Order: sequence, then structure tokens, then C-alpha cells
Amino acid sequence: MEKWNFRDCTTEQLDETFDLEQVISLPLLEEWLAASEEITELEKNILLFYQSQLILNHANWNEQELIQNFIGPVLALVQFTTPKSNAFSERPLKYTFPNGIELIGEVDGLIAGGKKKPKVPYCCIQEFKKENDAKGDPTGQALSAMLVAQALNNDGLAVYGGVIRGQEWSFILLEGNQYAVSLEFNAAKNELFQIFQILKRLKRTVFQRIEII
Amino acid sequence: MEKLTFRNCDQTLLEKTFGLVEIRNKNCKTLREWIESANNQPITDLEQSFLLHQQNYMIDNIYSWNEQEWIANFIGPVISLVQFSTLQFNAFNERIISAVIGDIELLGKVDGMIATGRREPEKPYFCLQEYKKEKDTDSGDPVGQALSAMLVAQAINNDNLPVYGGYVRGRDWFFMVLEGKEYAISRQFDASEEDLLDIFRILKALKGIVAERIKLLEK
Repeated sequence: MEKWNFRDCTTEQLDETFDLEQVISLPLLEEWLAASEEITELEKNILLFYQSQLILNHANWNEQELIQNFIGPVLALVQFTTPKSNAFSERPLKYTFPNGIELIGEVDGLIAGGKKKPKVPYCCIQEFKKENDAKGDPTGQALSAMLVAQALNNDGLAVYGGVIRGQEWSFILLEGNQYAVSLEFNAAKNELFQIFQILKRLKRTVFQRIEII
Repeated sequence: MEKLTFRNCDQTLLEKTFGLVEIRNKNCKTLREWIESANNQPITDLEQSFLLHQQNYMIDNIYSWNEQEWIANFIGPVISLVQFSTLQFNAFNERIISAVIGDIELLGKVDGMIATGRREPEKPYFCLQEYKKEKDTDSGDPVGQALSAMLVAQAINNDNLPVYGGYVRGRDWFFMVLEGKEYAISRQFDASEEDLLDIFRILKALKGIVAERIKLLEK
């Protein structure tokens, strides 16, 4: 059995090995990105506060500083916690595929069914420090975790994902053997509100999925 | 030269090796004044609303979060809300500091640090160490780990002024002061209770102390 860690995976390698196809877009991704969820006044003010910290410091922050001072507060504000779901950090995920390859690794951010432990992973997010310092292939790393999520869930439904590189966020959708990657949203600009709406829409989707289960 | 890393330090080892002495918090004027000065710190409506939001989030997850989840979801956002970031000083995470004290090199990563310097820490004034889970029996001694980082800060600063610090264990926060060879630890502050507002005020008071320290430095 061959072991591949998420951090070593590239999209090219995944495409070839798992017969994946990157497409320009997918209807579900378009629908997700078109999120128009409400943003309360409190949420708006908190987002603006953390955005100001990002603008001042993003060039100096290491990965942990980016997480603690920006990504953490933004994800916390969405509040994915319910008795049946939660947002998790650095939780391990693995699956051995029929071709004998085990994909394994820790997911930086995971939105999943399950309160104390992730049981049904719906969205895998990988985080990286400064824009110019991302080691390896960020999309490949997120996609490898999403492939594991797809295999574990085994429900024929789409798996969501994201990549955060400094102030740039992009979103990924994997459906069957096709995946699409969004353009980047810049959290230091007004696009932060779109990012927040996309996360809120993800929350709604996750809650709907859990109800179905 | 012997090397000692923060994660291998406990209170007894530090007391024996560096001659440190723990004093009662009531007898530590600097710690008392710091905590008391927090009473005068204002909290805006926005800050209070976000703190309560975070508190609810934390209460729902006390027994779910791993160390990184505590950091990303609660400790980080709360400290960030104090806004330590200025042109003269900043909040830093997981930065390595070291100093040679006597014939021992003491070194390690500090989980949270308030220090002079905008992009890189220069003079560390506050070291927050060891974010532990609520139930954690195998991650070493949080006091020793915080204290060892404070000892390095004291050696780097070399100014005879107190070094501030603290540690967080699940929902409980403790604040510390190291002055000369003496150190003291505050009572616990429970972030799942009203103490959260006190924790935030104490951090705001710390920001004022650091700003004053920098004025001294500039003179």
C-alpha cells in the first residue's frame, strides 16, 4: 500500500491517479458563490475590525498568526456548532482507495457532521501563510482531503473545499470526478463580505444535509 | 553548553536551577496593581457583543476542542480583539526566543507574546504559554513553560522591570508576573463566566502598561 500525505499532493498527480477532471465551473459552485445571506450589523462591524488587523499585519504574520488573528475569528463568527455539526481544526482524515493508495493527513479546517469528532466531512479548508510562501500545491492539498471526504461519505453528494493563502480565499467544489476552483476573493477588500456570505451559505447547506441524514 | 527548552521546564526545575521563588499573589504589588487597574478599562458595545458571542461558542465546545481549536476559535480572537498591533509593538504567536542564563541556554516557541517590534519581536513584555485542552494530563507543566519564556524575556530586556505572563488551560486563564527572582500567579479567571470581561480588561490594561513601557524606552 502506498501512502500519500495531503501536503505532498498536487492537482496533476490527483487528476492522473484518481481520474479527476478540472472544469471551468460547476452549477453547484456557481450557486454556492452567488450566496446572498444576510450579514447583521454586528457581524459587519466585527468583520471590519478583523479586516483592519489583516490589512495592517498580513505581510508579517506567520501561519499561526493568520489563523489566530483572522481566519479563526471569521470562521467562529459563522458559528458552525450545533449538536450535530461543528468546525474542526487539525483533525486527521484518511482513506485507502481501491487502487491501493492511502490518502492521509490533517485538515487545517473541516466542517463536518459530528459535535466532538468529525464524522461526515462536508468541507475541507487548507490554510497557508503569506501569499508568496505557500509550499507545494495548495489546491492539490485541499483536493486530496476532499477526495477522502467524498470516499468516506460515499453518498454521491458534492464535497466543498477552500484554500486560504494570506488574504486570498478561493473555493472548490468536487462532484463525482469533476472539480472546479473559484477565482480568488481578497479578504482585505469588500470581497470579505462575499467570503462571509459564502461561508454562511455553506453552513445552510451543511445543516440541510444533516437534516436529510 | 546545556540547552533547556520551554516544554521541558517545570516549576521545581526552574526554582532549583535559576533560584526563582514563588510568592503569594496578594504580596506581589505589580500583579495586584495590574489586575486592579483593569477595573478602569472600558469595553465597547461591539467588544462586549463579540466576547459574548465567543463565550457562547466556547461553552458549546468546552469538551470538543483540541488545542488548535481552542487557539483558533477562542484564545486568538479574544486577544486579537484587544488590538495590540501598533507601530511600536505587536502580538506575536509561535515565535522562538532564547537567552543564555548562567551556563544554560533556555529556548523555545512562545505561544503568544506581546513585544516591541512591528514585524519581528524585539523586547518581549508578556508571554502567554501553553494553550491546553480542558482535560489534559500529558502536556507538561503550564506554569513552568510560561515562566521559562518569561525568564528569557527578562534576560533579553535586561532592564530590571517586571515581565508579565500567563497561561490558559481550557476555559481558565491565569496571569503571572516575574520580578527579579520572585514570581506570582493570579487566581484563575473562568472565561465561561463573567470573568471573561475581566480577562479582556486585564489584557487591555496590559496594552496600557506596554505602551507606557515604550514611552520610557523612547526617553
